[in-house]
Amino acid sequence: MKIWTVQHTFNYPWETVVQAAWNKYPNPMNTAVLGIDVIDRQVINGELHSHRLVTTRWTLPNWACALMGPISTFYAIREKLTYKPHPDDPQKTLLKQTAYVTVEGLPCSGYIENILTSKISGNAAKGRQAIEWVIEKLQHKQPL
Amino acid sequence: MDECKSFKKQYDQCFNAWFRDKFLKGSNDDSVCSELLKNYTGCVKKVMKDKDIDIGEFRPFSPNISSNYEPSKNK
Repeated sequence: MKIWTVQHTFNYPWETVVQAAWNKYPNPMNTAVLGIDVIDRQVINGELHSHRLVTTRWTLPNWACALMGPISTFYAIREKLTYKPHPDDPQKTLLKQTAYVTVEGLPCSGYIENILTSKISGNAAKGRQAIEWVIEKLQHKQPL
Repeated sequence: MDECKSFKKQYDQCFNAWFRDKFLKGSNDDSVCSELLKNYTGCVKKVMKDKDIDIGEFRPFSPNISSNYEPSKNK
């Protein structure tokens, strides 16, 4: 398993950023994500839980798909994003993003994990731009 | 999903207002959007069934989901 992590500061308060986070997709930065749908959503003990289904265009290179399709028995990507008010400035928000990438059943599993991780890293940067883009939209009160 | 677009739009509008004006201000009562959510997720689940989309790892919500979040192997 490969673990990748990054931190980023948004120059907006937490309330603004988390509202934008719910409305992150679709956006012009991550065009591979066609849309996102809610399957289930509940407030449990004051926590909001959502199950959502993301519809994407699969953008791995063809050779990787060809490898992973028939041979790989298991692969998984888990992501955790935490948005917190910035400890030094309540007008800012600190994002901590972690991805856990696991590929099993291939002799070159580690190599594929590295490729997936670098893709996640690039997409995460686009994701942060997308949040900024949504915030702009929210602030100009355009309908989401 | 395109098939559920109008349901999604109505629900998202309700959810965004509820999240901003109620939930972030401490209210846990989410009943105001529950009818719209039911219509919307009903549509999504139907389309998933029609398209044979099976989410194998679907697990029920756990109250501790955020604190015990660690990757687990699901073979």
